[in-house]
Amino acid sequence: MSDRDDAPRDSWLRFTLIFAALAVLSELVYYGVALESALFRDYLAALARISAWILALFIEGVHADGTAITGRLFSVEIARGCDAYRMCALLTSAILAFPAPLPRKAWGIALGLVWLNLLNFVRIIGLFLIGGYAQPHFQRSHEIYFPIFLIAMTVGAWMFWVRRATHERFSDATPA
Amino acid sequence: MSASATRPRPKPGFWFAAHAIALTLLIGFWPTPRAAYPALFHAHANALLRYLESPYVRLAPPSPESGRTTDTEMTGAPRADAAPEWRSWFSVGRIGYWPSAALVAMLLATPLAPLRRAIAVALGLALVDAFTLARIALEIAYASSQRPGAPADGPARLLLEVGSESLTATIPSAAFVLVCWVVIASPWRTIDLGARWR
Repeated sequence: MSDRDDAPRDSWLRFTLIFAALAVLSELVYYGVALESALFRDYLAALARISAWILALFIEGVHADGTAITGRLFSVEIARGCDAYRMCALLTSAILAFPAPLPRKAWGIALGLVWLNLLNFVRIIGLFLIGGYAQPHFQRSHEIYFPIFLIAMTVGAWMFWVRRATHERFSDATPA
Repeated sequence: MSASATRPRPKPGFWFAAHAIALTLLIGFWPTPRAAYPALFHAHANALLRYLESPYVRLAPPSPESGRTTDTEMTGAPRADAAPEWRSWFSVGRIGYWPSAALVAMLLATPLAPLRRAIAVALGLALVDAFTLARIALEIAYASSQRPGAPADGPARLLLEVGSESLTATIPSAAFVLVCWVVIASPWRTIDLGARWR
């Protein structure tokens, strides 16, 4: 096999190994450092406050109490795992590991983090509404449907970024 | 004539991703294998754990009085005839079945020859199974380290704690599945992400 044939393989392997290493590192930071920090508790409380504020626009009496969202319909606690950290870490790892110019990585990460945090609010608000109006579906939504939705959205966001970050290649003519 | 002219055209990355996600959902929610997986996993994991003399570890469905909704209760005792010293509850569906479904879906979505695909699926399932067993082994090591008289705090214990905390986390599974797929399926020949790799 020539050097030219080896290049795509080496790039794929390099991407995969860097991505896996960054993803595992982010898990070590999450479980070893972040979860016990005051900053993380403040972040969860902020998630609860913002979600409660949005819900209060539509449902009377919803308010945040620490990391809990409370209302007449339902109450939900924003606990570890309800954050967007791991989805953001996954997307950031995938973007950092992919060979692209730094400015494109920077805007990809910035927009991706905003997008995933917005989707996390959709999850929290969705779960509150499901808990209030369709309680039997809460457990499955919490453990299966929303995690799958968010992982699919994370993969989709990365694929979208890859396409945008490398778009000029599609207009290039590949010599035979 | 260049080598690329004789190869089939690579599958576009977006098509591959859409195909893989759809297949993951279909396989993941397929009721028959999903319902059978925990019992199959418990049976072969218990057969392997039998070689472990101490602690005596068993995997089983949670007892009704535990009130747990997960599919697995792991108990550890100093000996086979002793009462359990510790219990741990988790879902092997989450850490074993869904990653297996995702890897099989990715291999099905990758253009491969039928025999190569069959070998890749078999190898992939074996690797995910080994990874799941390794994560459970970490949980056993952590639970054993929590017993009175176990060594005091240290980096190894912190790592075990992180491993135990992240037992059912999605990211290690996702990273492992991706590594397996790249190593087994050689996607640089068959998938075009549209990237400038150099």
